[in-house]
Amino acid sequence: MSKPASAQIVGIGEADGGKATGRPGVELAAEAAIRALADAGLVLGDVDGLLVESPDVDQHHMAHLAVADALGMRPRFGYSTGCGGSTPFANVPLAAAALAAGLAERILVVDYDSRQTARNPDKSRRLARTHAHRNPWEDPYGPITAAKFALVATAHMDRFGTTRAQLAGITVNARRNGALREGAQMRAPVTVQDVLDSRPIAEPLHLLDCCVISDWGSAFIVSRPDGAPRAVDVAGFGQHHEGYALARATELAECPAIRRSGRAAFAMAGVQPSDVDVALIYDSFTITALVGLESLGFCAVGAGGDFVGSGAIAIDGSLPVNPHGGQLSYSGGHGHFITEAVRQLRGEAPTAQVGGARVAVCQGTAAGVMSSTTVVLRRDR
Amino acid sequence: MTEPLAAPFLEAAAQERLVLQVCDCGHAQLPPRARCEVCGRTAFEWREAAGTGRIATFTVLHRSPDQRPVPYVYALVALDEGPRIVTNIVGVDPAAVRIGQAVRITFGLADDDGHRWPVFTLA
Repeated sequence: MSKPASAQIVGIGEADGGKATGRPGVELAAEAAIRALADAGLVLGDVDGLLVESPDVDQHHMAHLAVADALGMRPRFGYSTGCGGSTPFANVPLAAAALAAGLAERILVVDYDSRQTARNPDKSRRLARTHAHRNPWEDPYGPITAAKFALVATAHMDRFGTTRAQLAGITVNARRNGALREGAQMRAPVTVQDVLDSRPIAEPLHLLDCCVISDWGSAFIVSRPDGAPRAVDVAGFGQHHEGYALARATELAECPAIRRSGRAAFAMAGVQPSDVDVALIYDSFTITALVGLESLGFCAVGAGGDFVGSGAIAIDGSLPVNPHGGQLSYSGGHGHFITEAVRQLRGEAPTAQVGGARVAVCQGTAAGVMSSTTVVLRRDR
Repeated sequence: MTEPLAAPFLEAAAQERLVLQVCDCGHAQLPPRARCEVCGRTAFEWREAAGTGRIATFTVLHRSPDQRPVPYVYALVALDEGPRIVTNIVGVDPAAVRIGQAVRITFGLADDDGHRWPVFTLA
């Protein structure tokens, strides 16, 4: 029997984001937050903590205060946090710790950005760099965002014989799910051949191996357990960080950061990979999700290609992955992995509901795959 | 690039030499740090590297962040002395590059500040 959770997610919300909305990021943040409050049956005065991901493009000096201004909130606990794409995942253990320490009663966790609206007008460089990240020892050599992931993909293919077609299966699954889901940004289904034929970006990654780029806003509310009716337990969490510079990665074809964060989260939750009903795995690129599945222990390291090829990650498979379409289809945002996990555990997914889902794992990475946070959510029916 | 730690490296690169920050304890670091990551001390010397290594992993980029022409090879090279560095592999058809290939240093890349950076070609 699992031990009672010390924190719960009691409300979720998403803004009407998408492709080049023209809307300022903070507006999307506020929209998501208001919807999360309504979903939880709460008003702004019921929430006294605020954790906000620092956006890459829509920059403010202290994003949490910009969001507080947009909402008219005066929280007693508030931080801007910066863990890249893993920030909403990473905000979960932070929120749980803050609640346990009595720093807040209910914490609103928000992530947002307006990457599509603010995109580089030079079409040829749109996918090249969406982040203003600097590493003076790497920059002379011309890295683009996809490069870090491509280096992992090359190593994985070299060591394990993984093929581009196997990686493509991850996009095929994502788009199949996104095609069903109203609000997904890229809903056109694709075939493996479509992925193979798409134009190269950072080999072996081609255009359809890469996530969509979006304007988005996402929010959820973390609370001490207080009898909220549709609450989902935060059953476990873990992190691990190998660093930022790729030269510091201890492995190239495996992902120790995801492996360690996953083990810690599963141990805290008292679950094994075989107990997981639905997986929300960061899929910035196809390779990201593949090493995520391996590193979390859903299949052996190196066996990810076969695992995907078996159909296991499909909605009717043994481990449905990203029923909403993930970053490869639904949205280039970050928090939707958490909100979709909550929907699934509540039995409220509008499409691709995993029947009887009780345990969900959410895994997000940053700095390529060198930093990871894993969160296990649970809802006993 | 203006960080003071980089000065010995950039001065050597201007003369087409690759130098590594080597601690008293024997550990070699690149990029350099204020302190040794193994023993924490600050007693360093800058020692010239052999300029040889092997390709640890790589990608062929078809989009660049600036005006440089594509495609080009972006790689992680494991130097014979131990440290790994990000670099470009030049002078070879990108389609012929493989993990594990022996490489040796060459120069030819300069950044916007005029600093020269080591790149590698197949040995």
